[in-house]
Amino acid sequence: MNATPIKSILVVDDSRVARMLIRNFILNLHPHWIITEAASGKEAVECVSRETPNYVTMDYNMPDMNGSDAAQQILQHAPKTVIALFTANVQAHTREQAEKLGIGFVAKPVTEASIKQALDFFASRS
Amino acid sequence: MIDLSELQRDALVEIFNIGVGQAASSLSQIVGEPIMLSVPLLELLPGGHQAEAIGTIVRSQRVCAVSQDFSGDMDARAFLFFPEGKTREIVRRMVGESVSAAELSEMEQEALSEIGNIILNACFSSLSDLLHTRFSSSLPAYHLGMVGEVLPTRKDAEEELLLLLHIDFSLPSNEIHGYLVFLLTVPSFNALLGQIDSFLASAHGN
Repeated sequence: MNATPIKSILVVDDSRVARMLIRNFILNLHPHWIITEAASGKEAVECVSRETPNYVTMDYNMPDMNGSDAAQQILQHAPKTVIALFTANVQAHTREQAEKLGIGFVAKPVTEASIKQALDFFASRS
Repeated sequence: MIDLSELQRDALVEIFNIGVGQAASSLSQIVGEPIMLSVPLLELLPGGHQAEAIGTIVRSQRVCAVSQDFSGDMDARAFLFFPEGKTREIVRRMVGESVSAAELSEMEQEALSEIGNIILNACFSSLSDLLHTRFSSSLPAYHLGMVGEVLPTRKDAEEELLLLLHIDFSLPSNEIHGYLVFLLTVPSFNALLGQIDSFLASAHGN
């Protein structure tokens, strides 16, 4: 039996492969978590307006809306949702944007270690 | 004609994206301002029409380029292109305001070769890390001239493929855009596809 409470998580990334990797790594650690995917910032904002997830992993460089703008809009609607940027854009400027928004920052690639880093951040804010 | 499945294309873009992201972080520290990165686009073109294709993307037939050869499980020649005349400002930001115009001109070739080295190696490091393969690389070579002169010409152009990765990276203070291009032989491209498929299989099964 899984001792950890079931959480819902929205995975936002324009790369299908990245979403698949994130989903699989999380499900390996937490098989009962509910995972939803969004392929753009705009889609993520729409998803959250329908149903508020506990956590969000957010890519940065995406068409239409970048991850920082999407995170800002999500937090306006769902201030209790814990968000971590999960991005290849590892510049200081991007990290600072995450810090300003009070969200986590995890550098890609998607690996077991980077996923654990994101999950640790979520747990620390729950 | 070899083509990529949607998932293979997505995986390649994501791998290069990680490389360019890391390179942009290094570059951002060098020039002292954030580097804006576009969402990458990948195009696969048959050999033989390279010059026109690249000229269209870079929006200039005269270019400044840095190239590097990578060899290992697959061989590729990687290029970083800038439109000619746009690179001085990047070098200025690297070396600072105190350097004279004459010195700046002297340094330009060396500075751009270093930028090319950072970006192209970051892309191949990402390929190497995620696909569990190894590459050795040549020293960066600097080119200035028409696209057709910069690109190598082969008699058996049909044996070659052009992997165009449009990642547009620019400095917000200036309109400077750079573009990445990878030239692969057909056997090397097939080797790359095999590695991508293994990567995808492990991504499914992790």
